[in-house]
Order: sequence, then structure tokens, then C-alpha cells
Amino acid sequence: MSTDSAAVSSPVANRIQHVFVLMLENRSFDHLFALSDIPGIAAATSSSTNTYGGTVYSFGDGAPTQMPADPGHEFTDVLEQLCGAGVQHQPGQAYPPIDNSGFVANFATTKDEGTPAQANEAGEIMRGADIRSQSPALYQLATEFVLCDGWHSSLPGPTWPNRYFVHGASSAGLDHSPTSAEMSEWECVDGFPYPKGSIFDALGKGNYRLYQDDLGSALGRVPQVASIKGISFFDIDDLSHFESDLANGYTARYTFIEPSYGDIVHDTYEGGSSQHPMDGLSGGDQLVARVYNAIRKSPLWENSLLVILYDEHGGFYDSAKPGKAVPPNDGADSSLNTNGFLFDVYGVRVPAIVVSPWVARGYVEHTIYDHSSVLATIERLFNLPALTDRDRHAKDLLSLLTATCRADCPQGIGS
Amino acid sequence: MNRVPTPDPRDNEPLRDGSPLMGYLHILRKAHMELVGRDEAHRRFHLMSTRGHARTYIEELMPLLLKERGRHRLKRHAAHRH
Repeated sequence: MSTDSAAVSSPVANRIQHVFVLMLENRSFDHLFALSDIPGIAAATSSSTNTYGGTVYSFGDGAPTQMPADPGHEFTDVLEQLCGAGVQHQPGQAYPPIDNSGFVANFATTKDEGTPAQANEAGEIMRGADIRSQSPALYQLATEFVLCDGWHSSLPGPTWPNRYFVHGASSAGLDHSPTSAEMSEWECVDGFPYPKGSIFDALGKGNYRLYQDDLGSALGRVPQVASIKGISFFDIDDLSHFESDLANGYTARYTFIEPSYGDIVHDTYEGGSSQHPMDGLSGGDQLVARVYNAIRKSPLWENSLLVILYDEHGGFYDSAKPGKAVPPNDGADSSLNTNGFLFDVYGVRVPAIVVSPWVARGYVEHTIYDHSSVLATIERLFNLPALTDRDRHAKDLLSLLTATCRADCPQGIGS
Repeated sequence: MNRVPTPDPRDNEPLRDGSPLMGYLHILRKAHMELVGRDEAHRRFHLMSTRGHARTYIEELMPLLLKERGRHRLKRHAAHRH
């Protein structure tokens, strides 16, 4: 009998026994989905504008396949993007009022890597992708399962602290890309230390698995998760093993998957699968399909929940104003908090897709989530305590689960 | 190793502290320390000052690290079976 056709109500813990997370890179919700024509999403329109140098830039189509420069997304960049040019954040004070007015100004005047934006390119940051043609697997999952239009990165800052939030509901005060001196200090204690530990500490060895995409440029096969305390580079498996692992007595409750980051040496990120703005969407789209197809074909499918999300917005425009966030309150000292940020506001909105036979088809969820919602879901599902105040107060994904197991989920996606 | 990009004119650019690249290099150093110890890993790390050096470093380390990763995987699986 195929349990695919089962239509029984069961406790949440019986329905979902394996949570998978694939975290990609640097795209805002509006950049990827505002032009998707998916009904019911809260998204930018042509009346969503930024003004820079006396010119009004409207949100519209035509996002370049690869961005000419890496849009800024350090703390001070995001401050300008969210609060406008010239606005200062006072260390230790509340985040300034947000009006999402400074994305163009920031893109026109700053850069992280690559060629600085030219004057006629300033508006590129307001352009959305054609998700249906540029990332068809992602689009298909968004329309076949649940698309979240209220998921925010955990802080208005760059990759590293946002990725730390998904592993520990905190960045231990880090509000910037770490320096060599900071990383050297972490090395003395076996990696980035969370005051209250990570989700991997909470789950314990054997209850989690880590994978990284092994295709594309060899230069980008450096898993960021291996920077944290208690996680070794050698704990990560190549994604080439994923499908066979799932088919052979897979017991891990939680699985975190990283893309390949492509050419990290020259900051082009080309040949990767992270969907970094300078690399494009296709490699990551293939990764999305590969991960979905492996889980879909596996014996675990009917007890699985896959979350596909983005670490932060990568500098791209988004029309949703991030709201107040609960600070982790985990006792982190101030040594990593360069900007005196209170962690009292979320970062820019990012796409998130929840995939499971136990979620509704083509549903748009408006609940406000952040990366700590992954942890809240795991903790409440597997009876673990919260790590910090952030995940303690975070909304989980369990309310998205339906009482019946769907029989209409795509057998496979992508080419 | 998979394909590796051809030489790039930016190979002569100095490494920048606080950049994503430096972060990734530190992750590799952490792994290298597990293999050869702190002193040797730090000695090799401090030979780098440019992007080209970083590229050589990654190309040099990655086969060793991936081989060790394979060994760890076999050990994990053996322990799981018993």
C-alpha cells in the first residue's frame, strides 16, 4: 500500500520526523517573487520607489542574470537601505525609523566586491527576477507547497551573523563579517562560541547531519557551518551521498545543507550553487531540484519537512519594513558588537518555501518568521528547550501542517 | 578536485581582512589544524598575502581535507552499524 494516499490525522511528531534546511544566499523576497504573479503575496509594485540624485527609481522587471557588483549588505549598508542615506545608528540605542528608502543610494555609492555600480546601473537594485524562467524549480516548489512572504533575516546585516542565527538563535553579538582577529580568537576555543550552545549541541551527535553541494567550482566547497564550535569540516558530507544516505536507514532528525559558494577567491562566486547575485540563479535552482528530488524519492518523504531559505537579502530592494525583534538575551558580551546593535529589529525580508506532503498546496503564509523559526520548529517538534529568547518567542512552522498527507506532490522537479 | 578557474589578474590583489574570503580561509585553517596541528597550520596560513596565494592554498589543502572527510565518513558509518 502506498502511504502516499494516506489521509489520516496524526500527532505532529508522527507526521514530521525529519527536518531539512537548505540555506541559499543573498536574495530579497521582492527580488525573487514580487513579479511571480503568485496570488496573495505581499510584494513590491511599480509604485514602490527609491529616490536618488533627484531621480525616482520604481520597482520593476529586468534584473540582470548576474549583478555587475556585489550589492552592499554589511550593517551600515543595510542601515542606509532601510533608513535612508545619511541616517546614523547610535550604538546602544534603538534602530532608527525604517522606510526602505535607501537601497538605490547605497548601491550607487558602495560595494562589497566587484566593479562599483555605474550611475546608469543604480536602479538595477530595484529590479526583480523572472522567477519562472530563471529559477523554475524554486518557482514550482513555491506554487506546489507553502511560500512565506513574511520571513526576515535575523538581523540587518551580512551573511555570517545571519547564518549563525539559524544555528543558534543568536550571533553572540556579532553584527558584521568577522575579522581575522575575531576568528583567530574563536579558533582558540574550537570555533565560534554560542553562549547557550548551538542546535547541534542541543540535538547531540547522531541526531543531525550536515551536507554541502559538491558540484561546481572546487574553490567554493568550504562549509560556513564548520566555523562554529563543535563542528568540524570533517563532519560535513558531500551532497553526492545524500540520496543513498536517505535510502539507507537515515535517522537524523535535522539536516542542514549548504550550497557550494563558487569562486570565493575572486569574489565572483561563479560556478557555485548559492544563487549569489554575482553568480546567477541557475546553479542554485539545480541544487533545489536535487535536494527536493532526493527527499521525494526517499522512504522519509512522508515524514519530512524541507525549508528552503536565504541567509539575507544581499542588498536587493524589498518593500516590507522589518519589524521589532526579540533580542537573544543570551549573555553574549559586547566584544563582537561593533555597531552597538541591540538585535531589536529583524533584517530585510527573504524568500522561504516550506515543502512537505503535510502542507497545503499553493498556500501563501503571511506570518512573520526569522531564521530562529527553524530552531523553534525543531525544538517544539523534538521536545528540546529554546536556546535563547529569540527562538523562545519565534513562531514555528508546525501550524502549517495539515491533518492529511497529500498524494499530489510532484514526483520530481527540474531537468 | 573539480574544475579550477584559469589564472586571474586579480590574483595579485592583497587579501582583505573582514572579507568573506578571509572567513572561508579561516575555516580551512581550522580544519587544517585538525590534520597537522596548530603550528604547522598557522605557518602555512601565514604564507598567504594575495588572492593568488589563497587560491593555491585552497587547491593544496582541499584534496587533503576531502580525503580526511571521506575517512571520517567511513568511521561514522562503521560506528553506526555497530
